Amino acid sequence: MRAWRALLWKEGREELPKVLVGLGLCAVVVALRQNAEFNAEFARNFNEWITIFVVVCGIVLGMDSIAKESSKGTLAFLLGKPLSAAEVLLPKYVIGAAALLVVAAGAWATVYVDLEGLGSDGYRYGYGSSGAWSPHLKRLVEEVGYVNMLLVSLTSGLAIYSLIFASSMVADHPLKGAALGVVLLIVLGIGIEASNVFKHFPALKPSFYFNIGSGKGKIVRMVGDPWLYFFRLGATAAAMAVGVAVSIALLRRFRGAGLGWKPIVSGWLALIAFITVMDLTPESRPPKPGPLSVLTPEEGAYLDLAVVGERGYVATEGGLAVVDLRDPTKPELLATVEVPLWSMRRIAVVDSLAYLLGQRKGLPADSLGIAVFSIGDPAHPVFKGHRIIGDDIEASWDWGRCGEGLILNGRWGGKLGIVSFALDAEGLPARADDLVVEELPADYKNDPMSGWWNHKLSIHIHNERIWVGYKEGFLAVDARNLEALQETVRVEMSDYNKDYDAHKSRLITREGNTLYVQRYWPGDLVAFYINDPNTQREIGYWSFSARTTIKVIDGWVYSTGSNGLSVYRQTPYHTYEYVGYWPDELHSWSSFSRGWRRLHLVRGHFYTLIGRSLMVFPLEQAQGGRL
Amino acid sequence: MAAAAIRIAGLVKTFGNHRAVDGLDLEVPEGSIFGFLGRNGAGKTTTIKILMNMLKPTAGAVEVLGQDPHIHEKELKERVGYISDNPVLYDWMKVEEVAWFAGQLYPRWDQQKVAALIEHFGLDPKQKIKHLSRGMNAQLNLALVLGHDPELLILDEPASGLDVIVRRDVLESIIQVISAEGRTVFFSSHLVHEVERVADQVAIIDQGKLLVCGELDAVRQQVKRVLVRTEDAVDFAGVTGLRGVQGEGRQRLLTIFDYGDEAKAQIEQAGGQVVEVIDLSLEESFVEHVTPQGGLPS
Repeated sequence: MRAWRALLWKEGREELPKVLVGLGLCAVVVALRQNAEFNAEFARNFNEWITIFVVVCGIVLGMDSIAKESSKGTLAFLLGKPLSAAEVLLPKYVIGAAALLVVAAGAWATVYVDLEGLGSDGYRYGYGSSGAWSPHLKRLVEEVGYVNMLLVSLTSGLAIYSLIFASSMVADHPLKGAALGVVLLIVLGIGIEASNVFKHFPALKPSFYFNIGSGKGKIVRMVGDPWLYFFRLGATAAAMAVGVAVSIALLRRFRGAGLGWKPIVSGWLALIAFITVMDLTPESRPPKPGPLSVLTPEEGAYLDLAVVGERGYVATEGGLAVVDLRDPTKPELLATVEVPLWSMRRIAVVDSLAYLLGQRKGLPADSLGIAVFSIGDPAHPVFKGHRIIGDDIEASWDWGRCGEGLILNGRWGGKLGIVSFALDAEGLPARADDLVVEELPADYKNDPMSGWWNHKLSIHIHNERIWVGYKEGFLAVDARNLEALQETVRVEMSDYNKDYDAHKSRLITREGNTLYVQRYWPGDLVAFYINDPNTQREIGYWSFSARTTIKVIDGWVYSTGSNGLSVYRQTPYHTYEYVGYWPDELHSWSSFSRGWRRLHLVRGHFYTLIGRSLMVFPLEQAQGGRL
Repeated sequence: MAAAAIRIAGLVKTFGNHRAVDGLDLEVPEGSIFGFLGRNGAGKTTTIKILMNMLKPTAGAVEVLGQDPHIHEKELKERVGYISDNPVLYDWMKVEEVAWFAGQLYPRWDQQKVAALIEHFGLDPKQKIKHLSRGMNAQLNLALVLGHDPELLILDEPASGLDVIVRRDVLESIIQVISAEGRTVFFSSHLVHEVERVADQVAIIDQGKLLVCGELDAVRQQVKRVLVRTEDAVDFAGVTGLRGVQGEGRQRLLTIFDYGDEAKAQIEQAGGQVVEVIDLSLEESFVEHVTPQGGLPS
C-alpha cells in the first residue's frame, strides 16, 4: 500500500504538467472560437475535434509509460526495487487514465461554460461566424448530455491510450512507442476492415466507431440503446484490460527492451507500401454493366417522367415527349411537342391528358403555369391550352395526380402548403382548394440556402390521400374532396428541423401500409403504420441519411438524384447496407444529393432520369449491386 | 568454504547471433568485496541484469542469496541493493523526496540511516536532483541503496563516468560505508586499478567467458614476467603457459601464466637462464588476460 501511494504520487506529479497543458489548450479554444475562420471548422464538428483531442492526449499519455523511464534511465531504478511488474505499471496506467479523464472532462467543461455559461449561441443561417455554435451539435449535447458526450470521447481515448501504453513497453523512447502503437492501430483497423467482422455482427458496429460523433445519429442511438451503450463501455473496458495485461506480460518478458528505429521505420514503410499497393491495385470486380438502355434527347434534357401502361410521358425543357416502353431494352421516342415560351419541370397524367407544371416566360415576368396536352393518341400529342397559376403561387416542387384532379406543393405569401386543382369538362385545371401546412419565418428570404433545400415541402400522393413532409414532421391530408382538403393527422418528428430555421425538405415515401419519413435527428428513416388514416403508429426506424428521392420496396431502398441511382438493403439491425450505385464517377454525396428525380418500377424495371437521359435498370441488376 | 552469495552456472545469454555471456560459471563468496572485471562489452552488465531478473538467461542457472531471482524476484530485491550502470534518479524530485519515495518501495527502510548518509556526503536534502553533480548523484545512489539494509550489494560500474577525484570519493565511500558493515559487495568495472583498491576477490571475463577468478593476490600473481639470459637464438615455444616473448639477442622477457618450477626447468632445458621473476599489477595481469597477444609484443 505504501508503495502504491508513493508510485501514485510520483506518476501524478509527472503527469500534472501534461494535464495542465491539456486544460490550457481547452481554454485557448474558447478564445480561438472568436475567430470566425477557426470557429467555422470547430463549431461545425466540435464533438469530433474533442474526441480527436482526447485521443491525441491518450497517445501522449500512453507513449510515456515505460519508454520514458527507459529513455531517461530511471527504469533501472524502478526495476531494482521489490516491485512486481503489475505494481510498476498499474499506478502508471491508473494515473494516465485519470489524467485523460481530467483533460476530456476539461474539454467538455469548456464547452459547457461556453455554451451554457457564456450563452454563446449566435446561430442564424450559418454557424461559422465567431462564437456561434452549430445548431445540431448544440442540440446533440443538450439531448445526449455532457456525461455521455464525455463518455464517447473518453472511451475512444482510453482504447487508444491502452494500445499505446502497451506499445511503450518495448520501446526505449516515447516516440518509438507512439510510432509502434500507431502502426499497430492502423494494422488493427485494416484487419478489422479486411476480416469484415461486422458483417457477422452488424449490431455491434455502432459501438465500435472510433469517433462516434461523426454521425450525429450514432451517438444518440447508442446512448438510447442500453445494449449498444454497455457494449461500448464493455468493449472499452476489455481494451483497457487487454492493454494492461499485455503491458504486464511485456514488462515481465522484456523489462523495457529497446526496440530500435529500424523495425519501426520498416513497419511504417511496409504499411505505407501495403496501403499504396492496395490503393493502386484495381478492384477485381467485373466492370459494371450500366443501364439496360438509355434514351437521350437530341437537345436539352428530360426533366420529369410519368409512366402509364407501356408509355412514358416526359417533361422536356420545352414541352412534352412520349416514349414507347414496351421493350425495356429499347425505349423509343414516339413523339415530341414543343410549346414556345414554356419551360417545363414536372408532369402528371390524368386519363388521356398530360399536365406539365412549368414556367411561362414573359407576362411580363416569368410565371408558374400548367400546360395541358391531349395524349389520347400517344403518337400525336396535342397542346390543348394552359392555366397561369403564378399570380399567387410563387414556387412549386412536386406535382401529381390525385383522384380525378391534381395536387401541387408550393409556397405563397410566406406560407408553405398544398393546392388542389379540379378539372373542368375540357380537362383544364382550376384551383379548388389549398391547405396551409406551415408559416415561414418573416425573414426566410434572407436565408442564403433558401430555394436550395430549405423551405420546401415534400409530398407523396396515394389513393386520394396526401402525405406531406414538412419542417416539424409530417401530416396526412384527406383529398377525396379536392374542394375541401382536410388535414387528418399531424405528427411531429422532434428533430432539429423543429428548433432551427434552416430546415430541409423532409423525404416521405410509402410502401403498402408503411409510410417512411425522414428524421433528421438522428439520421433515420422512420416507418409508420398507416392503415388507419386517422392514427399513425411508429413501427421502426433505420439509420439512413436519405438526401434524394427514395423508393422503398421489400426492404430495399432505391435513391435517385439528378445524376445517379444508389441502392441500399435494410438490415435487421436498424441500418441500411449499401449495395451499389450508378454511375461510378458520380458516386459522391455532394453530387448525388443534387436534384430530384422520379423513380418508377414497372414490370421489373426501373425507369428514371439521370443526367439528361431516360435510363432503364433491371430490378435484379440493382439488387445484385451491379448497377 | 564460505557460502556463495551469488552462484552462476553455465550462464548463456544471446542477443540474436551475439553471445553476450557464453557459459559463465562464477561463485561470489558471502562477505566478499567482489570485483567483476572485463572490458566494455565483455558481458558484465548483461550478467548483472540477469542476476537482477531484468533479463532472462538463454541457458544456465543463477542463484542470488540461495534463491532463483526469476522465481523469488520480489523477496530477493528486498535483500539486495542494486545500482545500475547509469543510475539516473527522477530529476524533478528533491533529495529528501527521492529518499522518501525509495523508502516507500521497501517494507523495511531506515530513513534515519539514509538521512545520516545524505548528511555524511554533504548533500542538501532540499536540493533538486537535477542540480546535483554526477559525483553527488552517485553518492546519493549509494545512500539510497543502503536504506533497506541489504545483505548483498550489486553495483554495476559504480564509479564509471566520474572524474578521478569523485571516483576516489565514491570508492572510499564504498569501502567506508558499505564494506565496513560486512555485507557482500559484487561490483563490476572496467577500471582495474579501482577494483584493485577495493576488492578482495576478482573475476575477469571477456567475450562472455570467465578467464580467471579468485582472490585478488592470486589473480595478480597468476601472470609473471621472466627475464631470461640466453646465448643464442633459442626457441621457448615449448615452455608451459608461455604467453609472449619480448626482446632479441641475449636477454628475453617472457610472459608466463602460472609460472613455477616446471616452467623454470623448461626454460633452462631450452638454453635459457632465469635472471629475474617480475610480479605484475592487477591491471597488467588483466591486460595479459584479455588481449589476444598479451600486453607485450611477441
